[in-house]
Amino acid sequence: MAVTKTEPINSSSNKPSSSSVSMKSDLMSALSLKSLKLKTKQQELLIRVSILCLVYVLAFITRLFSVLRYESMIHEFDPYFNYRTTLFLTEKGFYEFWNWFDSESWYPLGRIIGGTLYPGLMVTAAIMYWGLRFLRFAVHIREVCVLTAPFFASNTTLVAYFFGKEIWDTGAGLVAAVLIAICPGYISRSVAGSYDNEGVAIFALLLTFYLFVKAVNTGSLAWGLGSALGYFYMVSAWGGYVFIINLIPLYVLVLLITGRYSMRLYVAYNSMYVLGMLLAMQIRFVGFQHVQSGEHMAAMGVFFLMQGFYFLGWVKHLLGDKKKFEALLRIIVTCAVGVGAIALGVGTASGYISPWTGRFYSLLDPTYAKDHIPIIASVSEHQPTAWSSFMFDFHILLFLFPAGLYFCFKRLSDATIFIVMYGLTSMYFAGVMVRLILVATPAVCLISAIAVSATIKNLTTLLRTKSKVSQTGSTKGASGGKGSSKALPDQSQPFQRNGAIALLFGAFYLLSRYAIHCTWVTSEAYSSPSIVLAARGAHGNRVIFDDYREAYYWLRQNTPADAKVMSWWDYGYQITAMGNRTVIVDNNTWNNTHIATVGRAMSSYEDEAYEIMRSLDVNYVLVVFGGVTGYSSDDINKFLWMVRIGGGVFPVIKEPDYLVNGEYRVDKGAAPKMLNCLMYKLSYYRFGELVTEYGKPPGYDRARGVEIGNKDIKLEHLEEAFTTSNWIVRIYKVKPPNNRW
Amino acid sequence: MGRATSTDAQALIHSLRSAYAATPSSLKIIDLYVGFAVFSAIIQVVYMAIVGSFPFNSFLSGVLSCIGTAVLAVCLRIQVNKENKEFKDLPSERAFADFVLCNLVLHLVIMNFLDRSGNELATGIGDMISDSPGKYQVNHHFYDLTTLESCHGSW
Repeated sequence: MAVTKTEPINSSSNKPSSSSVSMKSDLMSALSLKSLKLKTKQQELLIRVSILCLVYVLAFITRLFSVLRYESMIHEFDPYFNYRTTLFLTEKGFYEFWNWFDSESWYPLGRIIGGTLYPGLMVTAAIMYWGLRFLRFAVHIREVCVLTAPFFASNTTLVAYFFGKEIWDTGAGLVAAVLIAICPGYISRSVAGSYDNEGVAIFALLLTFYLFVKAVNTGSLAWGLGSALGYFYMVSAWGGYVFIINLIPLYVLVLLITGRYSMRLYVAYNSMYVLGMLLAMQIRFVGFQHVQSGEHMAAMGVFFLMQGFYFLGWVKHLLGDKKKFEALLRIIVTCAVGVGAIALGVGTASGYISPWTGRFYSLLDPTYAKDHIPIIASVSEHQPTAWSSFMFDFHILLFLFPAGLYFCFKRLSDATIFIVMYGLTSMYFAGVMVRLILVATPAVCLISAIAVSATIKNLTTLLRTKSKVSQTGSTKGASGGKGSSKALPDQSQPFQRNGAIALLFGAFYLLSRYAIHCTWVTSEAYSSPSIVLAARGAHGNRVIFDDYREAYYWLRQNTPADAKVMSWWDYGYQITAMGNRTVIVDNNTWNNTHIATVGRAMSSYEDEAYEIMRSLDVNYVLVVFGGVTGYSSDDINKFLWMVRIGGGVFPVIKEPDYLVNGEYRVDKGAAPKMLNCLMYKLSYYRFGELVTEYGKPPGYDRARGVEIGNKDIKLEHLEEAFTTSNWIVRIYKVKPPNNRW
Repeated sequence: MGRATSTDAQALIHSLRSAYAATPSSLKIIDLYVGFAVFSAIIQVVYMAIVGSFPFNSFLSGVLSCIGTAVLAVCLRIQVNKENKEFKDLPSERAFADFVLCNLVLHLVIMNFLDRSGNELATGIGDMISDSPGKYQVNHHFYDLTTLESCHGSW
């Protein structure tokens, strides 16, 4: 769908300066909206409101691909945990939810869920559910969960409109709303079914920033309170709130240094910081970090700096102009800075102020995670971003972003400085970690919207002044800068006009290509539920693999209620949510030693692994195997991470034991430890007899593309309980020890 | 040099005092309020230094309520002060209403924050995929049996 945007008639600020102009607008209005007899200002309002309504609906429906293709279900892994907690919240109530201790995961340790999650998403979905129920709509909580993210994406477009209006003007706001409605960087984490924190958090982020910029622009305490409440919502929704609490002090610092500070800044920042900090500490997961963690110290430092700065400014104002004051001032300032630095140093050295945690430290030093924390390094979303990802997620916004920066620098104000800083810092972080492209998306959309809006406005202004040759229209020409019609020779005018028309067509072509690209990306790349796999059959028909849910429902229906399932941590949330069984480790990954124990069990020989499994009371083991279907995200491909994580805690597991000349193989030339470890045996049990592809020998692994080395596998302590129809999920039962010696 | 500085300081203080005496009395009342709030915050910090900081949430809520209301009063003073050109159009009733509203929210949050039992357990539990900023290095002693008991005991 091609989105062609015509610039709304920019008449709310310019009054028509001559009679023929007003005649022309009357003619146009008479032709177009004859029956309504609206004034120009009302026309503009109508156009704006209808555009916003269309954009609202567009943002919602473009995220519904997977619901239409498959069914309304929750995607991926993390959303299953969020769904389970939301279900618990709606069934048991808020008090039970807030104090929930879950013994069904991380057996035998359990997990304090009430204190270790961000409740914003669940509470939002529960409130919507209760609201709909109150209105007697009998919805199921799963539907509400699935559609939460698209709904909040639509709300984000509205906030983007207001934010654009605040920074530049209404035209930029409209373009920003359109761009962010379909931008793939945002869609990737907010499709229907992706019930994850980011779906709500980006809305909260943009809302907080908008309210803060509004507070700085107006200097009103009410807007400052609003931004503090927005910040509270953000803290309750996502751990990325650290970005806000560092960007805003940085912005204040920049304003102080460049001399653009004012009283409004004081009011806005202080109200937001004090109220926001207090509100944030109500979330148990965040706790006292705002006063104890190194990541939050910048805000506190800027707070104290501001107090000192403005106090000194007030004293100076009281005294008038005193020379000796300056000398004393210098002494006072150096003393204060010295005391502050000593306090910070003592706090950090004594460990009271905790240093930056590994996850955020790896943003500043990208090589840190690979050497020190393999779990962070193993997540594919934490890898540095490639250029292709940027192009994929942003398309034309990539080159509109620098253009927008240029326009922002041309018209510097408090608001544009903020958006420039937001854009630059978020682009840096997007370059360090793939999943942070999401945080950069609103900034990129806003700045690109400024570029688009300003360019198109200039071009249409050129067009419209050129068409009225009689009057010079100096008021209109002032905004263009591309040559007003004041003193131009006649023969260059048609060239300018043609040039403007050609450029306008070019702009519309680019925007329509953007829309096509975004829709294609949404449809092809970001709408897969990952729990249901689709492939093309031999005749081009679509084949659906629903093995995951098949296995989880088998677990739910065929195992005793207190059975414990051991699997790699990726599947923990899904097993607890759909299989309703206790798991050993899950996606929360809070306990590295426990995960390393599981990793060690998977990489050991069957006897040692059996010891470990008996000590953990494991009844069933679940592995994911892609050899029959060619599914490449299976456990054998993840196996080296199990070895690394296990080896990180238990030195008995050494990675070179599983490699041959540094190469990871599963065929005849593989390392003997690899061919006999538990993971290999569980994945390839009875696989040696299966013919997977025409013309290949039995036991041909389609995911690795080789024939497996050890076809004759015998299991001593486990027995096969269930294998799904496409062999993707395999479940084994751990046999109790023998009765006799 | 020392003599010069002390006479300078005296002259400064003198001129400060005379300049301050010229401010309107409404602003002086606000200044008194700010001074009182900061003073009570300092008293609380001194008390904490003597007695110890447990329970930390109560200490924080006490100090932050004082600092918070002081800061809000300073914002009120800025908005009400006739000399600030930026706030010329803001009626002082509106400024005071904003001040009252913000204080209301502040003290509501403080009242919730004053008594938070069982909070210390939650800190220190890292959370990777669910995006928590908690400490990554797991300390097993957070999960020994005694803490589990108190965990079950408090609710």
